[in-house]
Amino acid sequence: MARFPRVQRKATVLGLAAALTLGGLGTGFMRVPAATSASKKVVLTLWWPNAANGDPSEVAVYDALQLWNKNNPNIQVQPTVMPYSQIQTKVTLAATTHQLPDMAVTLPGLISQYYDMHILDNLSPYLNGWAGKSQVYKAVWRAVTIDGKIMAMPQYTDVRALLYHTNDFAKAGIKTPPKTWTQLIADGLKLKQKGIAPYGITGTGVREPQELFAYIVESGTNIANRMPDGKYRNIWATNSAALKDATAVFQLYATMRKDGLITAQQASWHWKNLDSNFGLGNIAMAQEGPWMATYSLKNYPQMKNVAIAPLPTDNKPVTFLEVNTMSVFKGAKHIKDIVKFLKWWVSPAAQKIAYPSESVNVHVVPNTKWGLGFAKLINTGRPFPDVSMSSIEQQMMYAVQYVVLNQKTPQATALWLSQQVNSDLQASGELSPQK
Amino acid sequence: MGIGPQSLTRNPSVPRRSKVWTFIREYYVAYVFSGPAILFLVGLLFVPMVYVFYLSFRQVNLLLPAAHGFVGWQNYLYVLQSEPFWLYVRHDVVWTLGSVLGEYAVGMTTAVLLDQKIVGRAFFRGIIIVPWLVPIAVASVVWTWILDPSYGILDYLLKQIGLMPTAVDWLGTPSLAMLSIIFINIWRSFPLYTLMLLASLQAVPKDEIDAALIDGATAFQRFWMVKFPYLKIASIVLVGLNVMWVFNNFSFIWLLTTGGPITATTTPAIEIYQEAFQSFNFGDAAALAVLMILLLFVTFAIVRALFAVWQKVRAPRPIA
Amino acid sequence: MSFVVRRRVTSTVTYVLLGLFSIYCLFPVAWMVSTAIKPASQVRTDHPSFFTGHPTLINFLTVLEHTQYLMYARNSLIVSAFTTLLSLTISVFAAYAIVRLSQAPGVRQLGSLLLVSQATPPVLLVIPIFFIMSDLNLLNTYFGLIITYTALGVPVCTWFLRSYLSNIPEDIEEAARIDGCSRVSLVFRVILPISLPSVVATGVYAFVLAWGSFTFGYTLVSSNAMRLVTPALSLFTGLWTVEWGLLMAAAVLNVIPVAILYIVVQKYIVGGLVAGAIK
Repeated sequence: MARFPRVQRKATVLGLAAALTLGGLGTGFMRVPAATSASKKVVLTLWWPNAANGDPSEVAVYDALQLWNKNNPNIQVQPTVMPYSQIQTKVTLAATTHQLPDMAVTLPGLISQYYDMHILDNLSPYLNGWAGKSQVYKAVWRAVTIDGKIMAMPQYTDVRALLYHTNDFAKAGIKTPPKTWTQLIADGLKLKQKGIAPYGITGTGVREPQELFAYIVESGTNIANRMPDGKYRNIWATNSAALKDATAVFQLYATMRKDGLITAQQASWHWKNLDSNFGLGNIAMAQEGPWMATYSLKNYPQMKNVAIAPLPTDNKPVTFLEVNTMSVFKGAKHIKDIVKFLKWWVSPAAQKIAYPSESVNVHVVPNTKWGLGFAKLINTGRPFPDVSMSSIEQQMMYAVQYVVLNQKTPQATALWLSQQVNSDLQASGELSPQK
Repeated sequence: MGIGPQSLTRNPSVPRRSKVWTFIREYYVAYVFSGPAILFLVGLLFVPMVYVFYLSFRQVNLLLPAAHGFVGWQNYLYVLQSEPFWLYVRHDVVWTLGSVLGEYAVGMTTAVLLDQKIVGRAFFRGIIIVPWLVPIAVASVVWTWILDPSYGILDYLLKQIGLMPTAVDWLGTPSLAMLSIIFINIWRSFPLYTLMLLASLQAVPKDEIDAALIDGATAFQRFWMVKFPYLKIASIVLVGLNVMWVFNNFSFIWLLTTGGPITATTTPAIEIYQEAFQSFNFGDAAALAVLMILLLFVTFAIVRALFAVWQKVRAPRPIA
Repeated sequence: MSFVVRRRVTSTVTYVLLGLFSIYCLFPVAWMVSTAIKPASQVRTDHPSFFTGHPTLINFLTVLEHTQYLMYARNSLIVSAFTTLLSLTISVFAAYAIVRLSQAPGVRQLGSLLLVSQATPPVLLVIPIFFIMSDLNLLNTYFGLIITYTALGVPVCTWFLRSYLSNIPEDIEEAARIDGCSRVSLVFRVILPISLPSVVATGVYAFVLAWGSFTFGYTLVSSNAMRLVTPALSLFTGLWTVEWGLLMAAAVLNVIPVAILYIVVQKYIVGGLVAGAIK
């Protein structure tokens, strides 16, 4: 556990205590009483991003939790809502002072980081031998396993595919979805001729590095390769074949930009912009995931024309597998109760309510285009490498923005990103010295 | 306890104690009155600053807890060498100068306008204070919505009146992002300038203005020769405080652009946050923070020195 | 050009310019209100307009009924009000000491220290202040938030009041001192009444600072029950889409208390904060 030298902090505390005494104000009277442990009732704290008044999809997750709380009066799960960015900041601060909650919803790039910070509880002892384990996709377990240990409980998975509006394709006379990047460009040009905006990307937010990562693994390379010594390194600068693959990815962005398949504006698109523009039918195609199913529940008439296809690829038929998790933090008092809750959380009973079309449970596949379309792609999914991703993700955003805003050539971008990734790996102690 | 000349000579220890006693009697009120302020200042501002200074010489990377320890100047070298530190400082200088000069110009103009005897002065004054009442977090979401390139009202209106052929992504275009956030910052902050400058203007003695009028001074001369000298102190305080506030500002930039697109609006304050909460490297973040404070102090020292030189140069000339 | 004509031109130009500045100031606020009272279908549209044929309060009702906005607002009111009181109490006495009792060694330097403290980047304070509050067991408490905001507010409040108090002639106090009035009651009976406008205006400053603070509001609070209203705004952006109507309704509700406070004490502001800050 990362802990700060306490001596200097004591001085602060003394100074402040003096201030408080002089202020003549006691602290006790304003303290909010902590959740009581009067009975056998256990309260588990959870930081998560789902607002009770949010989207139908967020409400559904809430409903699932309500069901648990109703049926388990002695193990109450108490969520606090905050956006992902705040969860990350607060976990960082809390990690240094033992103020962590029992659980927090965690984005895929952060698990390795929390692992390096030694704040995660190893769940393997509680899950090995559990009968329900086989109900979760193997690819999903792989994504949450570091050094052979399960470090977080998967809660939903979003594999990426090409989503397109069939009515737009019909207008442009396109019969089948593009299978290669070359076809993607050709189809894009046809759509553009009919006055339809062909494609959408994100340039900021956590979706962007995920999107870029999908193209990178399709191209046959990786953002960071595991070297024989067990550490990691980006090899684009030293391996010409890998550089060619990486350059091809940025060339795809550059070509789409040059041919007008995407706009410069999209360099600042967040996932919220991409999803709502695709949902409204403002763009014909995008790399999207199963969460878009909820748009068809809302007032988005253009969603009924959406079809799902594997991402077009020139090299490997793979894609990005996002596994969103609940992290369990070290020092959680009621680990048995937490595990009990988490086992229920990935069971069909909970998953059907919370994540009907993004379930990690093999038995929860709705018989819809959404359920079937994505479920068959899960095994082609690749997770992020097991390295601290958040500064690397920031660099990946810059890289795409450089290309889309015409500030660097594709190859220069690949070389720049390679250097940044290795420098970030060095800063976090994960860089392999081998070339 | 009697203090007399006799006791002074007889026992040297008594007067010393008495001196302490006199000191306490004389000054304890001052220390009791200023004590709480000093304690807050020390406890929650200066001690944290010292702590950060201490951190800046240590390796404190949450991802590498085993490697924590004293590293001398290494954090500073890392920050100065491998980060585009000076680029971010340049951004910060543009952001600070642009904002403060703009705020001062708009604040001065509105203050001069409101200083005239016109009907509805209180009404306009009430309107002009409005932006200052809007919290920064609220101002950020409102402006983000106004400037939205797809559904924003501003692009729509500019297109309608024919000023722009297509929508512009104000916050998402590298060359425009800085201008946009400066514009928004001016909107939010200028009312304080207006209020302070207006109050100073109203403190200008009426007979001096009348005398200038009789002498046939133009409106500009009246402002520059008669009124402006009364605005000097307010101007120095306003500009000085705001330079520090704007230079160190984190939340406004973060909420509007998070330092982007790419790094077009990244300042050292943004970089501190990213180092601490995205790279989990508190040591480097602390080094950056110390460098920022140093930069401010050096800037103010230079400005003060220049000011002193300027005063000396113009001193021989009598001032009207 | 005759005097009358020149005056007329001047006043026309003045009104035109003031009109333009008013639009500049009010435009974002008007757009915020306008979006908040629109039905969802008119929010995201290719032809946005300030006017709606179907004004609705549905966004406000959703914010008030389906979220815990009122609880957040209550928390913020408590924290901001106590911050204002505490900052003012501390600042009035400190300012008085700097102005009247500066012969005590070190007290004069306090004035410059207050200014120097403003060179500290607040984002840098987040980490150490979090540690302090954590060690004092003051995370998730009103008290922790109040003393943090007080520490941030006291320097500027003292600076404002110091300038104002230095304008008060010393002989006003003489009579009271001859009557045997103690320093404390002197401050309460003589100084406070005279400088009321300045104190009120400084109080507004402290209130606005605490009410609008974003970074500390969310780093020092982890429990929903203690959440403050400005950091809570981010809850209305939604995980998947930005519901601009809801967000703007929450924004309007956020500004209302500050606006009411300002309207109530308006008459003090120009003569107060300001007159003080300039000397």
